[in-house]
Formats: sequence, C-alpha cells, structure tokens
Amino acid sequence: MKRGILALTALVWLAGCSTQPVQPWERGDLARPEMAFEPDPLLAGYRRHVEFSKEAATGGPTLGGGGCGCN
Amino acid sequence: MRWRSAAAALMWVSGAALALGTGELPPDLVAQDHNGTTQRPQDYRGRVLYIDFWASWCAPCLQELPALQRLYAERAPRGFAVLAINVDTRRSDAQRLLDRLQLSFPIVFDPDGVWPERFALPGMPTGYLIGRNGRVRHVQVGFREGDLATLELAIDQALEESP
Amino acid sequence: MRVQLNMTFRTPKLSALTSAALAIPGLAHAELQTDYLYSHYAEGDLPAGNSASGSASERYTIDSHLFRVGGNLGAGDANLNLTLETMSGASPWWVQPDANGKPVQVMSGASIDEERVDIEASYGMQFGPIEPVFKAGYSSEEDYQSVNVGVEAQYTPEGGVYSASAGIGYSDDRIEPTDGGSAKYPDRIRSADKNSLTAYAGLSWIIDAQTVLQTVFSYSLHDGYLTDPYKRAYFVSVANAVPESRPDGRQSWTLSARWRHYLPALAAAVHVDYRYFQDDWEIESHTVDLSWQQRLGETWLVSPSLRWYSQSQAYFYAPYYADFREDGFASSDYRLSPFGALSARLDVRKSLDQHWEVGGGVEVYDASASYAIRPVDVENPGLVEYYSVQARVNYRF
Repeated sequence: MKRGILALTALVWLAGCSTQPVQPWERGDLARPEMAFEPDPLLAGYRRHVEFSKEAATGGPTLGGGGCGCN
Repeated sequence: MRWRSAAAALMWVSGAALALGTGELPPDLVAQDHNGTTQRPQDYRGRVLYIDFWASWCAPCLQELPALQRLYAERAPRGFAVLAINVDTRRSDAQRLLDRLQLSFPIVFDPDGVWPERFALPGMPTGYLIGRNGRVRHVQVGFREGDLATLELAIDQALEESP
Repeated sequence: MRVQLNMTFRTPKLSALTSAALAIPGLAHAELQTDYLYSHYAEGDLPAGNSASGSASERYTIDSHLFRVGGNLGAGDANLNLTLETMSGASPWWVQPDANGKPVQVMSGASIDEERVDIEASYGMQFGPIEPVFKAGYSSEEDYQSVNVGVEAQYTPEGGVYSASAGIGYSDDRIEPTDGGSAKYPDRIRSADKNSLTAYAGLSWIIDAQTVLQTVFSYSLHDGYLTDPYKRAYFVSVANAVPESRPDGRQSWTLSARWRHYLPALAAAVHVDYRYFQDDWEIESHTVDLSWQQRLGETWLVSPSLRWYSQSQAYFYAPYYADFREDGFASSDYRLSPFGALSARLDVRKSLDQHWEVGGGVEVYDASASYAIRPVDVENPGLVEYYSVQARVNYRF
C-alpha cells in the first residue's frame, strides 16, 4: 500500500518534470497566425453559416449569433 | 528570508523560477551584442539601463521597440541606455524586423533563452528599468496603449536620481 | 415560394476569442484592418432519379459579399461584419413515394429570389487577465428577422499555460412566410416567433512549445416555432402532403476539441477539430475537420482541409409517412434525415506587401447516406451537394 502511494507520488512528480511549462519566451511557434484556433474568422464564419443551413448539428467552441431563414 | 527560500523551493518543484523584482540586482550575465561588443548589465552602473526582452513573433514588442528607440534617442545624452535581448530561435526572423525598424541601441541574440531563463521572465515583452545604483526600479510586463507614459515617467525619475 | 427555413439556429460567427490567447503575444490586433470576401455557392442539380417529376431540377445558388472592419476604438477593439447575400433557385418541398414506394423529391415550383443582410458588431476589452467581448447582431430577409446579443469572456493568468473562456448569447427571431395564410397557401402560417439561448465554457492549454489544445462544452435551448413553414410532409393514408410540424422546443449539447500542432521543419501547422453533438430530438452527430496550413516562402499560405460530418435522424423524421403519428409531428426535411457528408477545401492566401493580402478558395461538399457513421435504411432524395469558390482581399493600415 505504502509502496503504491510512493510509486504514484514518484510518477506524478516525474510527469510534472516531463511537462515543464512552456515559458513565455518559448512561444514563438504558438504565436504564429496559422496556429490560432481560428486563423481565418471571416472564411470560417462563412463556412459555418453554410453548414448550419445544411445540417442539423450546430454550436461548438464559439458563441451562436442570431438565426436566419437561410437555406 | 525563510519564507522566501521556502517559496523558492516550491517554485523550483513546480518548475518556475522566482521572478526578478524591484530593488533586486539583475543576474550577472555577459553576452556579445550584434556588433560584437561585450554586454554586461553591471557595466551600466551609474547610468539608467532598460533591458528589454523581445521577439519578432511578439506583436506588442513591435509597438514597443520603435517607442524605445525614440526614448533612447531623446535621453541617451542624459545617461539612458537600452539593451534589447532578442529571444527568436531563428535569427533571420529577428533580422528581418531589425532591417525594418532601424534601432540604434545594442541587440543581443539569445536563441537558447539563457537570459530570459535567468531573469525568470513573466511574460512577453518584459522590460527591466535599472537605476543608476544597478538595482531594478520598474518591471514592465506586456506593452499596451498607455504603458508608454508610465514607462517614460519611470525613466525620467530614474534619470533624475544621482548614482 | 421563398427560401426554406432551417429551423435550427445559426452557428457562431466568430469573434475575438478564437485565438489561442494563452498569453501568447503574437496575436495583437492591427490598428485597422479591412477584409472583403466574395463567395459564389452553387448546389448540384437534383438528379432525375431522385425527382418526383422524373427530370433533373436546378437548386440553389448564393452570391455572398462579406465585409469586415476591425481595429482599436477607445480602450478596446471594435469589429464590424456586414454580409450581403442574393439567393436564387428552387429548394426541396416534400418527399413522396413513387410507384415502387421509393421516396422521390418534389421541389418548390417557382424560382426563389431573395436577399439577406446581416450586420454583426463586437467590442472587446481587456481588464488585466480578463478579456470580455460584447456582441450584437441583426439579420434581415423579407420573410425572416433575427436580433441577437451576447457576451464572451476569456481569462488568461499572466504567463499561464491555460486560458478559460465562456460565453452566453440570446437570439430573438421572427418568421413571416411569403404568402402565409393566402388563398394559394391557406395552411401556411402568417407569422411566428422563436428564440434561442446558447452558452459555452471551455479551456485551452499549451501542451508543449508546438502544441495547443482546446476543449469546449456548449448548450443551446431553442424555444418557439421551430417548424419550417414552407416544407410539407407526405402521408400515404390521405395521399397528400400537409405542412410539416416539429416540437416547439429543442435542447442540444456539444463537446468540441481543437488541437493545433506546429511542425517547424516543414513550416506547417496541423489542425484537428472534433465536435460531438446531441439533442433531445435524438439527433447525434460527429464532425471531424482536418486542416494543413502550409507556409511557402514568406508570403504564401496554402491550406487544404478535409471535413467529415455524420448525423442520425430526428425521432419524428421520415422520408414520407404511412399514417399520422400520435404526437402529430412530421418532417421530411433532409436536414433532419440520417446522412453523412464529406467536403474538401483548398484555400490560398498571399500577402503582397505590408498592407495588402489577396486570397482565394474552393470547396466541394457532398452529402450521402453512405458517409454516415451508421448504416442508413432509406436515403433522403433531397441530400445536397455543392461547390463554392471564394476570392478575397484584405488591407491592413
């Protein structure tokens, strides 16, 4: 039991080491525009609008706007 | 002091170093700048030094650097110096920006992040205003509209103090 | 006969909270940016074999002009989106059995010509680690008006490796179908209202120096007239098509994940998006979107992407009905039918100098029962296929 807890603690500790937080000055690749969750909001918004009017599923990681009578 | 070392130990465990604060001495680091001149913060004692950490991918940095250039040009005769530490991993990215901006203060290229690591940089950009006594007077994290006035004031106050 | 109404509510138009944020200072806003996007959208003909008339039938085309202006205003960032659309063509009306019982599509007779104007404004601010964005929008067609408001906020601790975001929005819609209650269409409603409430909450993490992940849960509540006033459903028992009817409430949930990974050696970013959707009409859906964002030189960005979508049917849906249901609901709308869809896209952008950027794109979309995750017994004959092409120009001051 005790050994199990010890092993678990060690594992958590090691996991903590392996996932060293990415420092503020190491975020150059993450800052690239093509790494954004939505690099092209205008086009993405347009395509979502088309899909919305052709499919039953809607919603997701951004806020819904108004409805429309679009086909 | 005891609390402080306990906090430092805790930070070490969590993987973060203790950030450099006001009243402290900057880490003693030495590096060659883009002209091959040796740069060492301690050598600026007696002057007011602004150590600025920047990268080409950091959009607020792109607004800050021209502002710093202006402050530097205006106040260099009164003893104001700027040392800009670039943390881009590809030097060409930094160079492209430098070609456009025409900065006259020294630039240190630090692609391995040795300086920001030692300063325990809290964000990007971060600037450290170091007084004539060699101690940190003001830490500027981020750069937004309105921060320039604060920074300008801090620099002027630092310049008025005798070493 | 006008546009067929989709009785769900519009999915999000973007906004300021789409960036990874996470204290990554690469995404600061330009002082002023203007975008223009033109898109031509055209649906493939309804094949003769799926058509009740026995001959192929033209469907919809839409021309869209999207304008966007964004920049600093006062202490925050303002964004204004304007969309102008002209639509024309015919759309599915009802489904009936042919001589062999196979469902075939009846299209709306007259050609539809319509315009839509949509204006959306947002204003985002920053209070230390908290960034709220306020939104309002208005969309207008001759037979449809919608007003919406919303607020979103993002919290990013200084130098942190995660961001939390949440938002809530409300939309109030009014439908006034063309010829509603007229001598020609006496059983079509004159007007109706519906409203919707949407909320989401999510977390984004920096996984490593090249990887970010976002997970979001969302909930929507739709209330009011969710039926399509133009569509009809066919009943064999009366050998006639009568106005369709749907429940006047609908709740839905989504769970989404967005993963971004940068490949420095290739100067490319990989995007993987997944969304699970479920509602109390018993529709369940999966969406997977894969995108490759390739930088070429300093100025080109080429991004091919592939999207797969699958949904199950609403519990009251049928291509046509033997007899009336006990609950009185009926809809043969292909959008409530079981199907899957595949779409492929290619987008290209090229910056010309510090100010100008041009671009274009193309998409091909095909819906089919065979793309659905589970086998479909009877495919709706009205499933759509379309292509769209885009051209755009952006200017940064």
